[in-house]
Amino acid sequence: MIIELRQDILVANQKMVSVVKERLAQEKVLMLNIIGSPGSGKTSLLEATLAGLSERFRVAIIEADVETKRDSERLERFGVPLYHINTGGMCHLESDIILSSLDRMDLAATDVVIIENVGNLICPADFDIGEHAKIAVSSVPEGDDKPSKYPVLFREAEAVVLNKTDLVPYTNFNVESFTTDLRRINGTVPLFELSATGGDGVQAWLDWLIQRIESSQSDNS
Amino acid sequence: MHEMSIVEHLFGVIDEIAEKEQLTSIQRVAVEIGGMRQIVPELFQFAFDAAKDRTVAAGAELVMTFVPIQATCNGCGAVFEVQLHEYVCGSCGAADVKVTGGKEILITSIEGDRDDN
Repeated sequence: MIIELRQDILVANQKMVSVVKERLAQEKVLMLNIIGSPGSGKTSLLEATLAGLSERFRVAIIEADVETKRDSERLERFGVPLYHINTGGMCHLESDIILSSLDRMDLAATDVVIIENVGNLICPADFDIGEHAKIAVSSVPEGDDKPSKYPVLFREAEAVVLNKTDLVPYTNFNVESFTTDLRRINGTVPLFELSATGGDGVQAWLDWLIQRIESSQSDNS
Repeated sequence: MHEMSIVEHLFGVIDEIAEKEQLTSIQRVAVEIGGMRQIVPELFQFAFDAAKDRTVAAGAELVMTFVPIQATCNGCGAVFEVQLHEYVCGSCGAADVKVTGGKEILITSIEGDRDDN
């Protein structure tokens, strides 16, 4: 016998996505999903972001890594609620893990949850975890061809951060070629060229983020 | 390699359907995958073959259909197929386009035998 269907293979993940979205909407919390390669500076970007954001908004962080708690330890000094996940080999996060982190959080006392996904440009782009926006992080030492090689992430991103721009003079990275490729994939996405550790360009990213959080709060009210 | 994780989810769905329909063996599983899913067919096949052992679908063949990415231009309204991840309208050249197809990740049919005893 042939059973005809049209069922989503990721139905189990999507069910939890609905619960996550509902939970966030109830408490008017914005959730961002930061995706980038290992070593692109996702944690450094979080450090710069928390330094500029944590006095203005109530931020909570979900840190995911295959192994070690090193990234979480780096963020402890900011004193924000920090939820650590070791995926134990899994290359991405799924919505059930996010839901169990949200369960442990005081969402009523949170404005924004920022997730640092596992360092990877492919798998996290394919799994919806109930976030409001994906942020793609790429960095100069990785080369200027990342948007062309990993188009789906850059297409789905609501903002793109190009990190470590202070290293441009020491590499063959071509900013124009990166930008041209990115525009072919995502013509309208805001691009922030910055150095998370040096500070150049960070303010424009923070301004965008602050506006994003504020507009989500006014949409919800 | 997200193919492995997606295949794990696929077998979750297969098990559920096999139980509901009381299937004792499955010969064919058909899936439909959109271009936005970045699935490498060989890896998906490899993951499927690795996962099917000792399941009700142990002898099953996998049939994959790939769906192109489709977009609609927010400027002139043209509907077009996205080639090589170039999300630019072919009619008016606008880069402000909305992806309207290609995110599918579906199981479309299962062929199997039911235990009628």
